[in-house]
Amino acid sequence: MKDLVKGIINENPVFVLMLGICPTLAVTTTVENAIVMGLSLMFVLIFSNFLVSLIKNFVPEQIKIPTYILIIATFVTMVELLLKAYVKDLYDTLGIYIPLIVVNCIILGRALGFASKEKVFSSILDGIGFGLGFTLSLIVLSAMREIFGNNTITIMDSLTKITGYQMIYKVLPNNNIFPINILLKPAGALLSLGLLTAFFNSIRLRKEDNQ
Amino acid sequence: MKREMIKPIFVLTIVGFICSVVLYFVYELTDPLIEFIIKG
Repeated sequence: MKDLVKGIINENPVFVLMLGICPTLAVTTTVENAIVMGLSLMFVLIFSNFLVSLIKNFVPEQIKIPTYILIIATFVTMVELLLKAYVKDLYDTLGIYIPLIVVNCIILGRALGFASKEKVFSSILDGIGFGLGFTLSLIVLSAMREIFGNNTITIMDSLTKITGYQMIYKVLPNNNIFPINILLKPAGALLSLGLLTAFFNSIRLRKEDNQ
Repeated sequence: MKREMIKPIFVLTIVGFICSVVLYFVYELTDPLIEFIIKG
């Protein structure tokens, strides 16, 4: 259980470890993008952790990194092909950030730092925990950017072809302050990330002090 | 070639081969769908 929870709160990849910031800043323009990006990374993380942990005793020290990258790249290519086949619009929107999961620090870090040393079950739990931590961070950041930057929350738009539902909601009543368009631009991404990191860490540190 | 390099190269080749086979099946599964989407 400890392996599962640490990735969500104490070692949250986005707000605490500051890993995988490139896709975090780039794709969090809508909640839908954030959910799909997070789930894609979670899929790769769980299966790569599982395989790396399974074959850790057979892989010689000299070829650890090439072997792990090969395994991660296989899962990323699978995700890429599946997205291209089933949700082409979303594949086009996420663009280069899906193939870039191969060199994502979270996945390589967990493969080298955890899965290659620990048992299979712990590695799977670690993958689920870090995947959930990343996905939740992306959803919070994208929700903040989309609500205040566009006054909407898009949960299903490109996914409509698969699910049959379209879920785009207007959140705030008409007013003179919102939407603040800069929040949907790269500068707004950095601003939102900074604010959320400060907020998240202040709560986390206060909790640690109390304990 | 040094004798101690044989095992790493062998392991990497095996892993690469398995990954290629898996990807080939995924490609075969998704390719008709991609063609169908592009051609309509």
